[in-house]
Amino acid sequence: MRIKIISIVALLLYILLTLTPGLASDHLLNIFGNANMDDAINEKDIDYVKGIIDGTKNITKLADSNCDGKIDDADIDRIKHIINGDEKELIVIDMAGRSVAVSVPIERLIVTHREQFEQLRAIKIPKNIILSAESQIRSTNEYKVYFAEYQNLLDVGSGSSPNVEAILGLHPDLVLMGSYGQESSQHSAALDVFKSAGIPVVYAHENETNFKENIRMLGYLFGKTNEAEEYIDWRDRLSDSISMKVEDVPLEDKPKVYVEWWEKYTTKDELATRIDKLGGKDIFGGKITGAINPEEIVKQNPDIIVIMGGKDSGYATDNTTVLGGLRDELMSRVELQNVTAIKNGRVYVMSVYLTGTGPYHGGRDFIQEAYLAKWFNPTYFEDFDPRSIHQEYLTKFQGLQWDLTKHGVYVYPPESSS
Amino acid sequence: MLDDNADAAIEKRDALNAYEASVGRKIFFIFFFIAVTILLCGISISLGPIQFSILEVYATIIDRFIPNFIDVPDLAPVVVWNIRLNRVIMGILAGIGLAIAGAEMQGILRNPLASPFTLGISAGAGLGAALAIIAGAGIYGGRFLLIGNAFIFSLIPSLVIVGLARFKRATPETMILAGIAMTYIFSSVSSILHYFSSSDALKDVVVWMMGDLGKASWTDIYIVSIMLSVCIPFFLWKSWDLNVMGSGDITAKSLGINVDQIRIVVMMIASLLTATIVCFTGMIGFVGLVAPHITRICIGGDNRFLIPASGVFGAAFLVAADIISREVLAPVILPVGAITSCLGGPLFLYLILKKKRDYW
Repeated sequence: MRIKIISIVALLLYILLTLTPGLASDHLLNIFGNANMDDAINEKDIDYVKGIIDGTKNITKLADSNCDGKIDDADIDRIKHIINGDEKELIVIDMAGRSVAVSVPIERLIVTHREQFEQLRAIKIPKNIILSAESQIRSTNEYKVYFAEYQNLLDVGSGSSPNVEAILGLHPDLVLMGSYGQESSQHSAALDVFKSAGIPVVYAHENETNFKENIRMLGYLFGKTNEAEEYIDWRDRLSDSISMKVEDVPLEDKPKVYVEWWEKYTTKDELATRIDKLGGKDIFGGKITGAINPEEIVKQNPDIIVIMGGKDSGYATDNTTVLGGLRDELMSRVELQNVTAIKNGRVYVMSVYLTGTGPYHGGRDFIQEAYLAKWFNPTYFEDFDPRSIHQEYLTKFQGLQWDLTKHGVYVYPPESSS
Repeated sequence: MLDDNADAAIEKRDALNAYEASVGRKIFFIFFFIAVTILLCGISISLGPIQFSILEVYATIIDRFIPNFIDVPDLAPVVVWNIRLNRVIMGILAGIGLAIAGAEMQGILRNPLASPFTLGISAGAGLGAALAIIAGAGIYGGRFLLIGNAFIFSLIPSLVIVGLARFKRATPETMILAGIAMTYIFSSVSSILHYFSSSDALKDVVVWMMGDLGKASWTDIYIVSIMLSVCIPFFLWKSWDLNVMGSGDITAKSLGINVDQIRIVVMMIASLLTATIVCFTGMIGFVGLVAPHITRICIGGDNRFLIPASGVFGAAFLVAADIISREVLAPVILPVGAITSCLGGPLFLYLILKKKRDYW
């Protein structure tokens, strides 16, 4: 009943939003109580709610922090509790646009996708609140090492086919799901069961545009707002430093690039490759995904070729054979011998495990960007060290005591000769 | 009496003329589709992102055999010999092989639904590919992991069917049912593998199962050529026996044909031929089923002509499908197996509906 009321109120507020101008920031924090629609819940929201009550401010969709249909002092009290970190319930709008009431603090958490393990670790969620492992982190060599601390947890399936009974048996406070696999019937059936059992489900998947919203939402849910902001700031500084350098590259100096994705003569569009964003020119204009005619590569004559692949790569191996083999194979293709990239040896291989764990290969795609930016325009990124960035991420935000100078194969040619 | 002899002579002459006309039509069909195949090849190797004229393309081919005889554009040798020509030639060979294998299987099993893919060969190849791509497990390693797996596993259903025929004296109907059972068994194991695979590996398997002529190297083409050059003469040699077997096993045996032996041998060789093609191209469906039927509708069921005619029709069909797969969304190349199904199904349906008499 309560969930129905919240949903109806949220819907009405959404409708209201279309009639009243809001103060939404570019990366909105979608939690009720964020009255001024920026990226945080703070004193400014209290002032804003007071303004609404006084009639000097417009009503926003998130101003009704307790979702009781009216904006009053009760909302101000609730916002104060949220700021102090002692609020017992948060109402979030998750990454699927669903309004969900979640009791906090969360002490028993189910995670259904490996990308979420990485996000939670980045904002320093205590390991002991996570009750479950996802299928692939226990079956893929790289993930067995990367997510070693979760290997003994109960396998609850995946987002597309969760083991509902196993999840119910763990009595979670919250289940994190994602858009991956949400088309499957098992996914929607699972949602119905969780709803019947009174277990809140929050969608926490990351795509190309919602990184900050997602991390901030998780920060608030788990009381790690400072850690979330620290992580966001770090990624912003990295992204800004790359963007500033790329802006200096004249258009005529940008190299033509072909990215071969996983399979021979198969590529992906700009959303995945980010060639244009990182200072290159995609020979297919960033619009093509799928198998392509090799003749087009000969015709376009790219200056740089990047191969994404390498199932047997990553931190679980020190053997460069797989990635080196991919490079050697491409460079030996008879039909490509006249291509500039091959004549000049500017063929690079990137392990899929470098790019992350998400279905959009998100989560760690900023490391992909660092390497690609450097490969495309090395003279503009001379003092830029992607491996150090990767190391810092692993140490500072994943808590892993790995030494990338000693172990792991993520790119080829290896760092010293890149 | 003289009138009776004259009438008989006239009837005999008319029958001979009719027979010769029929044979003439069949031979015309074969040569017609040889010409169509040559034309389609000429079109296919002339099409591509890099613009070469037809003369430049053929000059490039001639230049390989008579160097420096004709000037050719700089990129032409690389593009024509390493991208276009091997694709077209593999299309011809695969089209011939799959169509002939389908015609043989339909002939020995006397079943219109028999084809390399309805008898479990595709399911076997699919399982072999899934094992290689998803689990990295196989008979051979390295480059031959996928090829070796697809080849070996595609033969397993045939071996089971042949074993049934040999040791249990299975009838053609039983062999068909056994093929269907093998399809289910192999498909179910593949499904389990798919279930546990990563999304990337799953996509690789699915794409492989749609067929691709572009991955064939010249070495692969030589292997398929050798296999065809061994199998086709054998099939032609046995075409009379297949004709007789079409009248029923009892009739064939009474005429001295070792039906069981021929059935087993033809089945094995057709399976071997299919496996050889499939391991290099992935699964290109419908050619083995539709090409013999369309040919049969046009020229009848005499295997002496049906086998070569199915082959040339299959070659033309697959080369045409490949042109469409490369050009319709260029530079993206669509899976040729999907195109053959899109083309073959409606064409087949049209011919069945248009045909005034039963052809099977």
